[in-house]
Amino acid sequence: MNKAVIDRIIGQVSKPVRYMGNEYNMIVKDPSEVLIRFAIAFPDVYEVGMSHLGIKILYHIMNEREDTYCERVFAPWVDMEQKMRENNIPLFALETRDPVAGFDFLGFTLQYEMSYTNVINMLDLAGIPLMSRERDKSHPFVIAGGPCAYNAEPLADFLDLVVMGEGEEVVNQLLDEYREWKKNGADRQDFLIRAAGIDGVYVPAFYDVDYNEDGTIGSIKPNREGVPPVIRKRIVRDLDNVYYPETMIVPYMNVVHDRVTLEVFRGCTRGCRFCQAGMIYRPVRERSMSRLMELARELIKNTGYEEISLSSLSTSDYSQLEELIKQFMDEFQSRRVSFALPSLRIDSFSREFIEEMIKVRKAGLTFAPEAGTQRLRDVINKGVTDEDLMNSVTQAFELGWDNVKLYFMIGLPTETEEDLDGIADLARRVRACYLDINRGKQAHRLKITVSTSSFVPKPFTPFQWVAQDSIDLLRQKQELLRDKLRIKSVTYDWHDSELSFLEAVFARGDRRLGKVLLKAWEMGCKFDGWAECFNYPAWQEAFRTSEIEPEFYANRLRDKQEVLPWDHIDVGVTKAFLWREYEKALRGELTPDCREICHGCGISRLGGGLCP
Amino acid sequence: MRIVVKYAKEGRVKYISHLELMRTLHRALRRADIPVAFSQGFNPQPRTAFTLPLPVGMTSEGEYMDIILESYLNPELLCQRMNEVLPNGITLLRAVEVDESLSSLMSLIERAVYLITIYDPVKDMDKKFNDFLKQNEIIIRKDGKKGKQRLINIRPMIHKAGIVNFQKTDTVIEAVLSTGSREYLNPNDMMDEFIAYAGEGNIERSYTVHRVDMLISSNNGWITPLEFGRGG
Repeated sequence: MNKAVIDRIIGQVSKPVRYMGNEYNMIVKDPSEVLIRFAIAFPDVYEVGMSHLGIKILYHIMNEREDTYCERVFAPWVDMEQKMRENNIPLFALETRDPVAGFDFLGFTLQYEMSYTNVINMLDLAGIPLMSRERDKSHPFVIAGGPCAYNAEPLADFLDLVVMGEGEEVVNQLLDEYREWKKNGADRQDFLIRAAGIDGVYVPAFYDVDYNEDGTIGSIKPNREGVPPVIRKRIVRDLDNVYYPETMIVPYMNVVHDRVTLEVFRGCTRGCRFCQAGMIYRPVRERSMSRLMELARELIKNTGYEEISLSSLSTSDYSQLEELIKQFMDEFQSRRVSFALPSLRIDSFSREFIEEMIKVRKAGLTFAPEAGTQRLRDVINKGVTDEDLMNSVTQAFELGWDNVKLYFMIGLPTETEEDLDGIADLARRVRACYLDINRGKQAHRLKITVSTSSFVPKPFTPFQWVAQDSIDLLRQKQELLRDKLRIKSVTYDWHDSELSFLEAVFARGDRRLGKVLLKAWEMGCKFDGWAECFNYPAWQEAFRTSEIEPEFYANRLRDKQEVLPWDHIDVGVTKAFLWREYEKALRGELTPDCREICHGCGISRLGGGLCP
Repeated sequence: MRIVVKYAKEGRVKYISHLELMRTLHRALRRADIPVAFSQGFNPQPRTAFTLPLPVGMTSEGEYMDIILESYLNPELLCQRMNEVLPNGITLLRAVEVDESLSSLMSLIERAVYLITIYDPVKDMDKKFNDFLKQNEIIIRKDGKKGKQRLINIRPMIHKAGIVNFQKTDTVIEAVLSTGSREYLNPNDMMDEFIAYAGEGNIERSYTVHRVDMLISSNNGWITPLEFGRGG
């Protein structure tokens, strides 16, 4: 009955394909023949979630198991949610359209802080009690992973389990443990105890947090025997031998990344001090060229995609990139498979090579100097000079590009007006460079977009102690920049500073923020990352009624001794290293790429011979 | 070599748009390793042509696609290989080789046959439907360009329509409607107008539309594209 209703309401909402399932390569199993049903959830719309590589990997890994059926679920858009609530349709999985409340696991990937209200909303739509402590044996275990899981404290009350680090191996251990537990029919608590015994698995309910009078944290301690005081993240040692799907679901919809994605390596050695990914995904591990070629062949054959992209934190750092791309071209160009490289650093390529690339596709170019002056770039350890940028831009213009995007952050530690002037200066120099190359002709075709986001200090970075600029200060800086960037051919766009402020609150938040999330959700907050849904006044009200000052989390400078809400999580990189980097930042000292020299970040504690 | 393919779009995939359907078929061509020809130029595209889009939400067993191949491939083999790699609901039914000089199907097709199932039909449905059709003019409002509304008489675009199966729970109408690039009547527009005419416009009636086939005018009367491709 429900399924007929689902079929009908899908026809009444925008983008019905989001809820349709039935894509090519979707896994079909008979649910009555499996022991474990897992709903993998992405707390945003289908087209965003289906662009995410991690979900695809975990979906196929779990479905390799005969005892498990993993299905997908995404956040229904506002119109669909309304139809579902009107018709009493609970949150359902795309594959079978069965309600996820009847599954064994509901696993969320936490990619950005502003998806937290969607997690709560999806639990509610599913009919699962929102709080971990309210669930019983009839409910699924609610589990989370992904980059925000490293500090999932604001969601601690809502989650039963959190997985730290790379999921490929730990997920199988967890399912094995679950299988044993299910056979023995013990209570819910018993499974949580078993799970907490797996390396990298964190059960928030097994830890107590107490607070000092000034609101800072006193301590975070296990509240029962046998639970590790510190949870260390999991990593995969060898990317060539770890599972990678040779098939992927091919969405009908034009999703954000609608192509074969090949992960060339994990981790990053550059050490940019603002970048959380650069710290939490260490160490660098590359996939071999032969393995990548093998995967590319299989994936193109099995999906029929017309495009491949290479993915990693900094793809141009792949040790054999030029050779890899040459091999790709040789093999796939004649078959009209094109190639996409995100965040291309063209300074590191030969001109012939770039000319070769343009034959296949000519997309817009983005450069990310991040800061306007060399001084500030040194503070954030972005090892790029003005000269690097101008060289790259010159090459691009000589090769016929006339559309470039320059990306910066404002509100970085130690920033002054001089650094904002630097942004405008760079834009002016880029323009002059274009006019020079084109001898003043075609000036009307040049388009420079300067884009700024507001710096959000993140846990597990050297800037985890710093205060974010207030919303007002960020606004002043945006207005200043708008004036400074009144330059011909230049357009300026910027991110909403209120959103950046909330990101900063929840990125470094603790458990006390759970009630704010709940309150905000009760007031209708969801899809906060979507401008058409973001409701800042409701958030202000949620903080007020919860008697929590968001500035305590976003705009406060922490000292070295302070216990941080994520101190019981070990991501490999040590707090001592991060503090050293913070001090060097304030002195404007650079830390070179650690492929050149080891800086003792602590990641080698996760096992010998890991770093390249 | 030019091949005309007849295919069906049924089940859950009725919700994919025309653009999504094209992309799906293009990707299936690649998976099936069909030697499809590509256009020249900066952004080469597979040389395929599709007939008028099927509105989202309708099913069909009478959709057509033109494919130009680089080398010879038995049309039946093409169907077989494609059906192995197509998602549930999209099925190639027949394929025939046609002369490359033949005009495009898109320009030749003028009509289509539909089956429309009404669930929970109105009282005296058969009489009301006949009265509806007896009108000399059936005027509907359509949103035109620049937000202006146009008035269109759709009666001349209904070439044949009648109830073929009348039951209390669901009633089936068979209709032949204009479905070409010059003249086009969306079955939904006809049905919405009928429901309003039947005097219960404020009640949300549910019906589904299934396209059976498309028709081309020839010396021997109205024939299907495959009959046309085989030389009438």
